[in-house]
Amino acid sequence: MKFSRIYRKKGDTSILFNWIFAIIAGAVILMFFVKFSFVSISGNKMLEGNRILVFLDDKLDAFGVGEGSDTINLNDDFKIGFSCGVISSGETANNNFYERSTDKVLFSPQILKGDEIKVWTKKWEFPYGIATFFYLGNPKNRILFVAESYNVDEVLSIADNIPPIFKVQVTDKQKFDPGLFLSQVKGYDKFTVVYFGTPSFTVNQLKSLYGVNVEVIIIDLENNTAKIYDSFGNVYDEFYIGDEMMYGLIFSGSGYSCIKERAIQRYQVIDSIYSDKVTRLMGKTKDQTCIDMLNEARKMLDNYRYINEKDDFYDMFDRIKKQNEDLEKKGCSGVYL
Amino acid sequence: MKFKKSQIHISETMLVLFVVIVIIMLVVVLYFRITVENNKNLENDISEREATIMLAKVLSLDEISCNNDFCVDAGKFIPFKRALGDNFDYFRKIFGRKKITFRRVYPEPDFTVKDIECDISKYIQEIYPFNCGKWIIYENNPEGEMGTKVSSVVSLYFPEIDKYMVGRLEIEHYGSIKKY
Repeated sequence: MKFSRIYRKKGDTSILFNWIFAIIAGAVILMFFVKFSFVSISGNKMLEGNRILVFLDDKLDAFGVGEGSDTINLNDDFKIGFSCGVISSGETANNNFYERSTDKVLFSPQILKGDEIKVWTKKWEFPYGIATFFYLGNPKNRILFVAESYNVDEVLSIADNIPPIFKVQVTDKQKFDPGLFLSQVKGYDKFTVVYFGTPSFTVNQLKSLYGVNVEVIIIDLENNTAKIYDSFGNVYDEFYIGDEMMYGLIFSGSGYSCIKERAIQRYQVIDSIYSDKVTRLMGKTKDQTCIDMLNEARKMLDNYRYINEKDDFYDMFDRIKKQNEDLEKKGCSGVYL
Repeated sequence: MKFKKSQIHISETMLVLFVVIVIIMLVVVLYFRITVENNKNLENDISEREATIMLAKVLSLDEISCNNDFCVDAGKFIPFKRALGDNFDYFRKIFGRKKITFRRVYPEPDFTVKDIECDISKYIQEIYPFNCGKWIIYENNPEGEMGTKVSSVVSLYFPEIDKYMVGRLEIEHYGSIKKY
């Protein structure tokens, strides 16, 4: 039956109302279902996006209990971002972007793509335990050490300390020919070249040759300092405190500065706990020699709490170590047990 | 009052549509409730898992663990609480919504002190740590939720008397994956 005929027929206007009512009601029900589907789909996506972050955070927590290395299988391809104190999944400009803040000190390339993450955990002790460092990577982020002829052995021992799952390569500067690595580097997301001396190739030369994200790090082992050159022409002057932090510098490259600050913030909290502990211990001992020594330790902890210079850290390291040995020798309560 | 045939038709259609809509609504509400319940269960599972991992994590935290041995340095409990007050946001990121308590288990505390919290007033007494039985080192439950407990046996070291004792670490978690 044609709609125009229905309309023209006298007394049949009820059918017209039926149609209008059915169309409106149908549209409302349809809209409800569409909205419901959208809410349900976006809810599931959010749950899935967050689930991978919670999964990763929990895995890292579990790894952080001890020292060692292993591979985390994500069971699917993910793009995981690691910026200072935040883990994220997905693309920033996308609806599927989720992030979760973390307390862990994670030294990692800023982005890890793929279905696995390699993890190495190591305690940072300077000289007392401060934090567990996490070093992250994957097969698409590779590191090459370029040694000088006079420090090859030292560089080899640094490379040996890094678990083999990261496949860090070492070469002598004299033999370093970037062209030889061309076929390997092509599939990488990031290639880090670490010089332990003067560099033979600039970051721009390597970037134009390889066409991938390249970072060049120049480490001065004697002064515990480094220069980081990223692909965007930025140069960062950095220092590191202990070998653990040097590994962090190598793994995180241009993202190192912020992570180092987080580690130092952690050191300040631990320092304040030890200082308070020493103050309490002083009230518990009756031996005047111990009281004096503990008082010295407290003063030193207070003085060193907000240091931010490399030399001060190394100075503190030596003094604290000696002070603790002296306390133990005198039979006083040890501070850093 | 007499109804016309067409009016009866409209009423019938409306009634049928009303019943259909009500049924659809009931199904949708039921689906939503099941989904919410599933998510709640998932949230509880995740929270439980996080708390279990936290049991091991707390023991390895340099803020309270011994430096060399696998034990907890009870001498750091009171300083830790003080540091917590100064850096609550920082520690909230580590522990989330939880309550963390250490209890002395052996030598078994006297029943009169078993539930007494060890604070600075107890610490300064000569008989510390035998004058109290527990240390609440962290508590964050802003919504006053009911908690579920997980616990583990730990070794407590008291530097003041240079002695090790057996303790229990209890973590009460509040069934929420919201970290803070």
